[in-house]
Amino acid sequence: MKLRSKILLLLLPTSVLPLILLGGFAYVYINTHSYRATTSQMDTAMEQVAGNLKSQIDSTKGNIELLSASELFRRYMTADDLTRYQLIHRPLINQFRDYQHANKDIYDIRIFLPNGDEDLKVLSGIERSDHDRAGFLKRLFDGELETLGELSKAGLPEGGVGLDYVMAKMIKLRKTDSESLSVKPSPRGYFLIAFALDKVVESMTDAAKGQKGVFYLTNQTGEVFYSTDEKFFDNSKMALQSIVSQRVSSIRLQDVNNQSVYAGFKRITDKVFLVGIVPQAVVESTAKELGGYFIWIVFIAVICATLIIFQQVNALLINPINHLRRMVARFKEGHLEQDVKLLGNDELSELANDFREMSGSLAKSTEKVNALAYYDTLTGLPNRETFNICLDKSLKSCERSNKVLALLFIDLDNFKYVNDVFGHQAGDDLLKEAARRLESSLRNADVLSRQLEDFEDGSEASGMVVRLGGDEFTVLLTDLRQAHQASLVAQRIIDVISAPFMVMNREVNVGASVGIAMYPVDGKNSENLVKSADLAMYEAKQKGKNNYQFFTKALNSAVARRIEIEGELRKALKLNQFYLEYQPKVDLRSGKVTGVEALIRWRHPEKGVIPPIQFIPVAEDCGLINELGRYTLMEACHQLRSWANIPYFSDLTVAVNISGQHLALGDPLKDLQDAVSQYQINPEKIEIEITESILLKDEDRSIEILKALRKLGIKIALDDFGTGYSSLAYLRKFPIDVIKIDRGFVLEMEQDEQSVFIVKAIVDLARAMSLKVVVEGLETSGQVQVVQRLGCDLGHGYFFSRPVKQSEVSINFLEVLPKP
Amino acid sequence: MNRWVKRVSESVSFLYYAVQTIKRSALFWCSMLVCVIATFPLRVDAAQQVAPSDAVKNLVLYNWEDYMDPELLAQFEQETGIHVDQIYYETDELKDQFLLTTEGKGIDLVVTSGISLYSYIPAGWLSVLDDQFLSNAGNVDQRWTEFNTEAANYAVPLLWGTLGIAYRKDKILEPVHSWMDLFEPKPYLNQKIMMIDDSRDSMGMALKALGYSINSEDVAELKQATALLKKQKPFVSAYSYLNLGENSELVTGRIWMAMAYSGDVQLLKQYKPEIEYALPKEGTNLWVDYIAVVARSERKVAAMQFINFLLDPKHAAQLSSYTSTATTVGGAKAFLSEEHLGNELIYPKAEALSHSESYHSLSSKGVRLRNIYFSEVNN
Repeated sequence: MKLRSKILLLLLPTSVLPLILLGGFAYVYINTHSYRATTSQMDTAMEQVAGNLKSQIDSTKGNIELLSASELFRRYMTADDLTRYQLIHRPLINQFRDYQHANKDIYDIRIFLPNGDEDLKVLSGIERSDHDRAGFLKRLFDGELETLGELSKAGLPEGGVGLDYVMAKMIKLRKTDSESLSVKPSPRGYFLIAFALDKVVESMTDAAKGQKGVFYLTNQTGEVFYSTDEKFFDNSKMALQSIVSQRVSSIRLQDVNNQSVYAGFKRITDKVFLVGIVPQAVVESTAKELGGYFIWIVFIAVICATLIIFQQVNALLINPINHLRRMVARFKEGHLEQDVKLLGNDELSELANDFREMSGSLAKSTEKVNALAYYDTLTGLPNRETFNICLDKSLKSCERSNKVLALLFIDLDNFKYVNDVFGHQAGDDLLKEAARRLESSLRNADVLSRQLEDFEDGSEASGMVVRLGGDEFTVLLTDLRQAHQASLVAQRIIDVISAPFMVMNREVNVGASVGIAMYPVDGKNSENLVKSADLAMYEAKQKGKNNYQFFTKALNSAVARRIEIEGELRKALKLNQFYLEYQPKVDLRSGKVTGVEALIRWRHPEKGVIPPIQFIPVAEDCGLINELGRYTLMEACHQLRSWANIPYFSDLTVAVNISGQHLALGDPLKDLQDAVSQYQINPEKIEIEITESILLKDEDRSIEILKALRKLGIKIALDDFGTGYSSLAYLRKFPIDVIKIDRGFVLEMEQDEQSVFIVKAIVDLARAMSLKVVVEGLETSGQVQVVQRLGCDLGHGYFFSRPVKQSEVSINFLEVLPKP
Repeated sequence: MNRWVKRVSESVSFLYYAVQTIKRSALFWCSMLVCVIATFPLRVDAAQQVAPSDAVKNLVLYNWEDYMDPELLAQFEQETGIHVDQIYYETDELKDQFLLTTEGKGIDLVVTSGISLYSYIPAGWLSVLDDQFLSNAGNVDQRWTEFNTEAANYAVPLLWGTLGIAYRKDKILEPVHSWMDLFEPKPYLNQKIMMIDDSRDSMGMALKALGYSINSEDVAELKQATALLKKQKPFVSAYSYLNLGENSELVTGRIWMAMAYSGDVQLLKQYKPEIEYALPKEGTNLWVDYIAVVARSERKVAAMQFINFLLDPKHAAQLSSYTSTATTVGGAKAFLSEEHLGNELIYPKAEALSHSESYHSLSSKGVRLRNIYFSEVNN
């Protein structure tokens, strides 16, 4: 059951039931007591009518006294005929008429002579006939009463029956001028005025109509002067007399004329009674009607109350709760910011506001968390996490819309150098600046937040820069029409990064190697695409840095081959498919072999011997290089042991190449100690060859290891000198005994004077630092002659011997050595 | 509203009643008696000894308005040293009522129509004239002294005239020569007629219009006349007396036709020459206005002196000229202009008067009937 239904179920009965009960009680009360109201109303109405009539009668009495007391009237009544008619008649008529103007109801004023003849008549404009006055006049003239007042019917012009109060008075006067005061006043005539009781009749009719009853004016015998309804009782004398003759005048229920009626009367004068009758049926119907109204009122009140409660429950409770629910639902959907406010100051509103505040603060902290999770703290760029999400979404979107997408992997060239030379802070500053330049190089740079929100609806980011870590960045380009655009972007990136950076107030040049992979050609999923871009970038680095390379199938097949090799490498280690070949190193002055360089070889059962250039990088990548390094060291030491007892061979040294990976991640020191102790050889017979690049990665650790090795008496040679940084600073910084000049110099030597000078400079430098200089890649006697002349210490190459098995190592090359 | 009117009238009536009651009360009459007794000796002295001082006192003449030349009064004062003040009545009825209530106390002389004399003399309100103070009485034409012999000892005929129809000849295009033009008017005269508020005149002329005598007491004739008046009533703007000033209804055009006394019409013509007077062919009432001394006057001699003054032919001519009414003094004609004498309005030709009558005294029953009938018309 819904909350609304529950509340209504609770509220409605508590509010509506009392109403219904009240209505019910009122109905019963009205029904049982309505007759009281009726009788009291009736009584009031009758009282009013009776009072009205009484006052009119009194007024008539007063008027007749007033008029008959006027001087003109008295003179008229006592004067002789001549004076009376010639002089007083008209003035008196005028006086009466004036009086009638003021008292319109006194419509008939008459004077009768003592013998009953009419002497004077003044009628006002009221047209009514006095059809019922003969009896009254007879009683007046015959009677002994001096004044006579009676109700009398009068004919109305419309044909109805009106009511008059007729009053007459015998006038007894003595002549003032001729009769003395002792003479008894003699009858002079009769004075009559008739009062039109139209107002009384009107009030009576109104009252009767209002009470739905009948009013009568009767005398004590039940003779009707006037009734508001002639048909009721048929004006039955008997019935009325039975009412009037009762001792109790108040209204009560009684049986009259076989009818059950409420009846009562008021005595107005001895001869005039006002009778009021209301049939019981009328009273009951009135009560019922009233009760009916009451039921309707209660009904309407109940409806209104219900509606109001319903509305109020909705407005005060249900709607706010629903509102809250919607807020929560929106919150659930992830709309953390709720800007809709709930008006009011009740608990619900407070709850809503609290919730709003809570969600607001939650939104803020979520935003912060997002920022932390999705952004790189140093550069403010999206991080790898974001990149992964964006890439997935973008790929899906491109898949749907068949669009092209480009992924650019960027590696800063020489960053390591900056970091080494200027410190981490400078490196960080450089990264920040690089990030800024990358962003500005894209049309739409900072779109991360938008993207995070908009992945659903498939809207695309045109470009996005991500810092993957270290000096590695990627750029995701999504609104491409052709691959060419990607190359433009790549070139722009290279351009902006190539521009000098200001680091510690000094200009530094950094380059960028960019690898580009296109979706869908270069990878159908994000993993492949990333790999492709990475390969391309690697390729760019291989191709001399500060350039961009598109991923190619060839790269891809190289990858495949690497994967294959990786698998086979592991097998090869177990199956002991590796062996060492030795290339003799010749003392360029004596022509004698002083040592060999051990070179690892993989004899693949199907593919034959695989050159190290193919599997060493793979081994480095997959971590097998340590094992390989260990194997090489062991094998080299083993060879030294076997040569130890053979004359002349016992003087040979063995040079072993140590990979940068091995140096950085492995423990070459321990490996060497193990090998030395296992074969009981003199460590001084061992020479370690490392490349410059190794030293760049983790300087301190490398230096420590190298120093430790040297303590053992092991000599250290710097391989491929002249290709990398070739910084002379290294020569001082690192514990080095031998420099091996790269074969590139030897190759160019015969054609390029410059190379000769460089080699000469290196030899001079080495000499100055007490380092031995080894030249590799010697192939011709000319080359040998040059290096001999330059003063190099040792040399090796095909001119002397290709790498050979241990059994084939020959130790004297004097015959071939040209004379310097 | 009506209730308030009624209350006010009731309270007024009560005051009236109270006053009457006081008057009636014995105390009142006793105190009055004391007063009268106390003043009686003085009155005797005044009558016998203070005759000269009688002349110093003012006379009060009860008269129609504009019915006496002020110059005559000035002249009289110059000659006798007696100043005459006038009080006016507007209708005969008001005059009757005044006399009824005062019995002439406070006034010395009254100008009245001949018809009123029939009731004033029996009522004892008029004083018998003493010939020794009326040396000019002989100047009155015999025709008028014989006109009402009953009145001869009590009043002197002064002016006479006719009753006719005054009308606006610029409004009424048809010739007016019959009472029926007044009693059965053309439709366009609705509310344009004024009748005299007097049962003798209105009822009398209605009788005359029907060919009966103005003095008829025949019930059937009176009923016919009443019917005629009732029929005319819707056309009647008012039962009243013509206003005689320049604002007269007839002058302003509020009414176009009226029953009128000849002298009044002559006055109104000054303001509006378009007013014409017609003596109806059926004949009319020939009226005479008398002057009499009130019985309760305390300056009867002076009053008679004034009457005598008016009967002087020269003065009579002046009064006739002023009032534009024919004089009863034959000798006055010598002092009147040809224009005045030749005006048929003032002096109608004998033929025109051939069917005319004058009012006689009616029986009390006759008066009563007329009053009742006329009150039915004019209510």
